[in-house]
Amino acid sequence: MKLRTLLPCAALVLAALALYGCRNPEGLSQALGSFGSIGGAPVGDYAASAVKGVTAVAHAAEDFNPQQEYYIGRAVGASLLAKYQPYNNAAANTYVNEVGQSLAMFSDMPQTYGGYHFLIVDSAEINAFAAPGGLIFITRGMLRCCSGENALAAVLAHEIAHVQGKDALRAIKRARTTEALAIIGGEAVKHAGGAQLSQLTNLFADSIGDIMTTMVNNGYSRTLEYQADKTAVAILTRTGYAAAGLPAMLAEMQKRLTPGGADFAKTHPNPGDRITELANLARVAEVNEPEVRAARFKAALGNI
Amino acid sequence: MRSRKLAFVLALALCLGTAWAIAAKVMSVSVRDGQVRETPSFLGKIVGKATYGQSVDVLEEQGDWSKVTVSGGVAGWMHKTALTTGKLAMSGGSAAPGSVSGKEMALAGKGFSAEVEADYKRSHGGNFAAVDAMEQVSYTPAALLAFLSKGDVKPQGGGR
Repeated sequence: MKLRTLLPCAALVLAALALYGCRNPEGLSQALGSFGSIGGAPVGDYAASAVKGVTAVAHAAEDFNPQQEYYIGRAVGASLLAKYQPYNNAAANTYVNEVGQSLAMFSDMPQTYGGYHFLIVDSAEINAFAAPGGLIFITRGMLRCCSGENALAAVLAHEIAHVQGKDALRAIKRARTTEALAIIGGEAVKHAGGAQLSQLTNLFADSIGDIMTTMVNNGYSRTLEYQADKTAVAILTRTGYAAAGLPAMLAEMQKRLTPGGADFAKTHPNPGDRITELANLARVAEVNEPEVRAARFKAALGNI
Repeated sequence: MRSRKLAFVLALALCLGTAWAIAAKVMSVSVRDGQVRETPSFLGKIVGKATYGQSVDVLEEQGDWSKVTVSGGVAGWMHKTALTTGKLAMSGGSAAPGSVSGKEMALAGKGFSAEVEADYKRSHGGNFAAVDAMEQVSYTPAALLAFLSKGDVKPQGGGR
């Protein structure tokens, strides 16, 4: 009798916790631990199977710790910079960093292990990339689509949203993540060396490969792109830029993208679709920027 | 009767679920150079530093900020995104056997590390020098707010 009343109660609590756990799996396992036991059996034991699904989902991206995310991001950056040359214009890069780091400060993830850093790459392609941990790359071609600082902020906010969403980490194949985390979690790695190191390095290289394939060739899912646009609007608004800067910038991009091109045309949903998807949050409108802002944009990027 | 009491306790625990999250005392620094500030704002004066993996006691939370005491003594405010739940075991040898779970070991910075990066660089190359240069460019929150202000960009509600 006692058990019969207790189990539904426990189930209710677990269901609620599972919902909470979707957002915070680590907190979940600790919360379960703090419940002690029911009828001699630890609540955590029932929970273990009940929320296994939740944990498995989280396994993909969240289980890499910030330091690992940082090293993955560095290697993705190093691969991108083997493909695209840095654009060596200190004034332009300083300006892009000032705008980008300001936006990052108003994101939901203002602090990452190594911080946010932005770099212009010397390419006429219309493209931008966000490596895990906050290394963000933008092509000269993309900057040419930006009519002003507000439009630039919109592009950078979209990339910051990808960092915040850990979208690049999600591109790593599940089996690879599981294997990597199993090795990393193993006691033996305390003294990483020889076979273990080369095994880890191989997994690391394959993970970077997965991310590069998605980032450069296949693109993220439409869902992730639309979500990044929505997050970008929130970041823009909090920072003090006009949300309309994003759809306005997308409209300009649409004019310039070559259908079938190997850049944003390939890896992102059509700008028109993105504008439609954003309609409830921000609509295309001319963004009038104050003189001083327009002037500094022109000074830094006028000849990009 | 007893079961009803237990059900009540469970319901109460459910309500307190979020409060529990706040009551979690020990957290760990999840960024390389954590800043401890006098006030809960990026503009607060930096009163101390905390490095990756260091554990802190959370005393209070206010919005996105946690009031902490860093092991070693410094007290002040850290942004919540610079902290992660749980204790990170940093050095392989210091923890007693069995006291650190596999998960915690994963959090302790084993695995993808400088060592793996060096090995990867040997076999795969990549322009790490350019990444190093990129990481040098960094501005303080005060400088960034000044930049926004000069461009007449007005953050909603000030710095987070």
